[in-house]
Amino acid sequence: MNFQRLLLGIQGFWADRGCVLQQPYDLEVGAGTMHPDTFLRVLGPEPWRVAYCQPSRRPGDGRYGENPMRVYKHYQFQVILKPSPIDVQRLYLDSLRAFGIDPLEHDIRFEEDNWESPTLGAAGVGWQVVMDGMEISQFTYFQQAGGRELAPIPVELTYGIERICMFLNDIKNIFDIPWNDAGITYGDVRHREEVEHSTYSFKEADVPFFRTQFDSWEKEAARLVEIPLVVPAHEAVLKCSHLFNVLDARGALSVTERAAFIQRIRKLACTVADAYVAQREAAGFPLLTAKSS
Amino acid sequence: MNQPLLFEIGCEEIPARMIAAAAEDLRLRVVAALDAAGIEHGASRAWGGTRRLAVRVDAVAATLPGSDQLVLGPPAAAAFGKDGLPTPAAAGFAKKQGIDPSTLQKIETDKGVYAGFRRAVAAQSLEQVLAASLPASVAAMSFPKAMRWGMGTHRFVRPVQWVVALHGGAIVQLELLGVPSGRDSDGHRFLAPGPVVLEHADRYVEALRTARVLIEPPERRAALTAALDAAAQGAGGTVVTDDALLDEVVDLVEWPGVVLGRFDASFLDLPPEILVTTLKHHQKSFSIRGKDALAPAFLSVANTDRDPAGHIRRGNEWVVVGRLDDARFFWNEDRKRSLASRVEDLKRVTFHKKLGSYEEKTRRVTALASAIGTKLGPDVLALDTAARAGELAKADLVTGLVGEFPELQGIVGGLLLSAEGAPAAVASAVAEHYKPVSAQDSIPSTPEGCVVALADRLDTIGALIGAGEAPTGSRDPFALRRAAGGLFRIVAERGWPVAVKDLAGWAGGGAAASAFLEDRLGNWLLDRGFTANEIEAVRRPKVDAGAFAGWPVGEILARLAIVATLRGRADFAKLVELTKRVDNILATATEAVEGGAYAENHATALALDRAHDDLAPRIRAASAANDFPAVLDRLGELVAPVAKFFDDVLVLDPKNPAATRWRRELLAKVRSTVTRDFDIRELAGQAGSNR
Repeated sequence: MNFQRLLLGIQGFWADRGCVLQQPYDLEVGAGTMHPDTFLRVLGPEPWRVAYCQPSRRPGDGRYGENPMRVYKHYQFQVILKPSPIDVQRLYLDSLRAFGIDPLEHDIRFEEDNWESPTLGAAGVGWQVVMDGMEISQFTYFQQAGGRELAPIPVELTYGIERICMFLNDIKNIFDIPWNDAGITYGDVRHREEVEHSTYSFKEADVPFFRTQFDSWEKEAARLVEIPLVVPAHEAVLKCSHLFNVLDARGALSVTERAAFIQRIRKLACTVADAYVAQREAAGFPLLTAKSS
Repeated sequence: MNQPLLFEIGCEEIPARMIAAAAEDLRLRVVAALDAAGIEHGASRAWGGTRRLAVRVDAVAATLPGSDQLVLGPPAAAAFGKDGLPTPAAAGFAKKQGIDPSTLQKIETDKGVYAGFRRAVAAQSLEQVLAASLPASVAAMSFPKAMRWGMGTHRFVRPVQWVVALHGGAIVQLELLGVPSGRDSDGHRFLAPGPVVLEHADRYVEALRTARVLIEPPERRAALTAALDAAAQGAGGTVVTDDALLDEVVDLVEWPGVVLGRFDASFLDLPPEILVTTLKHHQKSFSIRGKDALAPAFLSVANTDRDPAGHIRRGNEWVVVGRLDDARFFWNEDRKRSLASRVEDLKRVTFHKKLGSYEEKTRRVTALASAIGTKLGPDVLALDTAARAGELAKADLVTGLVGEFPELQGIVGGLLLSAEGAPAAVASAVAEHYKPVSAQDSIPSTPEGCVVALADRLDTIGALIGAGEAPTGSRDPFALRRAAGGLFRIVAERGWPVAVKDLAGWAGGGAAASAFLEDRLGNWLLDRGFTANEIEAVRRPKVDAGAFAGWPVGEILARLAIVATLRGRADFAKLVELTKRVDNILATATEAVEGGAYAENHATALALDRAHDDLAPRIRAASAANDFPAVLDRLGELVAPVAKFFDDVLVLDPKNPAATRWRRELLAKVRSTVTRDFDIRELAGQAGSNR
């Protein structure tokens, strides 16, 4: 199964189960969780179901396109179901069946793996889903986000689709993944970008420029949240988060400085979360009114 | 009729590390619910599996019979007036009890006559009792990490999927964490999908086995061990056993199977420690030992005993090769620099925010290792080896391998030193200085390794307690208590003449560290199975409470081991009893007795006097030679003469004050000998205790 067919299959599966089929967020993010359709929508009492593929940047994971597994940017397929349905494990396993994985031919296990995002003030409890010894998904019941205890509880399913595609095709190198059936590979589409972004993050990113930008976006986020312009404020926080990741990959931050940066981003994320809930409450939590899902 | 009671809480996958404790907690709660209501029941047991916690209680009564409860109020004299009518005191009592004062009666008791009444307690069914108390009790279960789900109303280790509650063949209707009880359990998630309908509480284990769930941990473990052995044999080798790993994987699966994977033989160039740890740490896989060395193969545990398409083997091999590649990369990188050159890099690794870096710690440990080595002397160890090992002990913390596998700290240092041709004694001391890492682990194999292990722990204890990080209650984030236990074991097993006072002096950290170590010594002795009375029996004759710390740990331990051999010995029970009688007699006040000669002429008294004077010097000699079994044997010889003395001789004879004095002096002499090395009076009533 080629990469784009897998992506279409997984989208179709969740679209058929009442999810809003969203598109990737158009800013640099480290994970699908940072997309406002996850980070903001999991807050407050309103139900929500969404699915999307989110290209996620991890500057520290760049390997100049030379490592068969690790990349600067990978595609995370993200599903949020809020409140978590009681049969969510079955739904998840059905999604694997949908792209040709027969659980009777594999060893699929749910192994404890709790998730925490210090920068988002978020934490969850769950598992890594391990298939035949390989981690293929993260499965997390969010307990807090933006420093707030959550109720109802959203469940987040995150698929590492490159991993799954490599496994399905018995491929050892991520860049050999067939993107489509016309002979185009993952490497044809993405390799150059990996080389350049690794070089940029590790060697070329201008540290003083990134620091100045961080300070500016931090101020902007604080200003926007006061107005309040919640989504623009959230985007300013995402900018800060990405700038921090690059500074970190660049080796520009000492241990204590790193902790201080995380605290600064967390503080902003929490104020954005509060502003979002206040805004939804003022609007009467519109999605609480009976909408069939 | 009494019937077994079965509970099963079906959950999404429970973390392996929490399963056994959670199942036991559930058992205690079910039994407590029965006991609190007074429901008759038999033995109970708990089972834990990946997706379930279960408890069965044998022979549980179906009902709690009704009863008459006697409620007593004020004394009759105060409750009834002369006219026989209830007084205001009686009215107040009646109101509080919610009854009409006129129903109060006079009731005779052992303590006098009271106003009171009988209240009928209605019979209750088992179901009523459990439905009233168990839901709140189960909801209050605590876990290392709990969670909420759905609307967020319930809290448990993982979302609850089903609840089975059966008394005999009947469903006990109740609701746990929002889930109503029934008789439908669930089998293996993939191998036996669909409900497992339990007809009776008795056939739980069998019903689950049919549905491909081995719920008995020993059965699961045996199946797994057999599968591991068979697969290893298939690869022409034997399993590298690892109990901790087996404990973990056995709770990760319901229907254990094993897949044999292979990797390229070129990876066997890696040190075996690194290979084995890579497989264990990342893949929870076992290594295989071939004829002379490790085999290029591994065993992964799966939650199924079949692999029809070979996917499971292939997937595991793929991941293992990636991990071994990483390990090889780190091993090659780490060897590009000498270990000694890394000591400088420890400056950027924080030991503790108030105590600076590991480079500073290294300097303290090196100085301490020298001090300890000097005190023990050149006959015991090579001082320069210990000092050099102290300098290098922490340098592997900045290697890539330890970054990847923290559990290989020390071992990596030793491997790198061996690879660069350093003296074997230094490499071994560095490699072993974290030992013992657990109660099952051995202490370092060389004296130099032991000295570095002592110095490292003493520095950690002294410095952290000095910085205000002493453990409190259940909080011991730096594992200082375990570190203290390691100190005691090392000095005791080495037989080094080191007392807690010496350890505290080396540790620094002042009175707080000193008090901590003394407190830990007591706890450590208790942890080793000695009773508080045995410890007291050893301590009291020798020293006062404060000075116990001045006694070498090994000597304390040796004496305790001897005292513990007295458990259950009838002759010593007799001696203890007789010594207590001596105490009583000597404690009796007597009028001052005039001096003056008294010639004892009672044959039994003279026999005891002779027996004592014969034994006393031999006991002192045995004690001086630290031959405590001989001390006890000699003491045993005193039992008969002392017993006969009490049978035949009147000690306190009011008509004969001089004889009284002489016989009291004899008993005082005997007691002083009997309690000279061990205060056996502490052992009264201890005969039945077990190690």
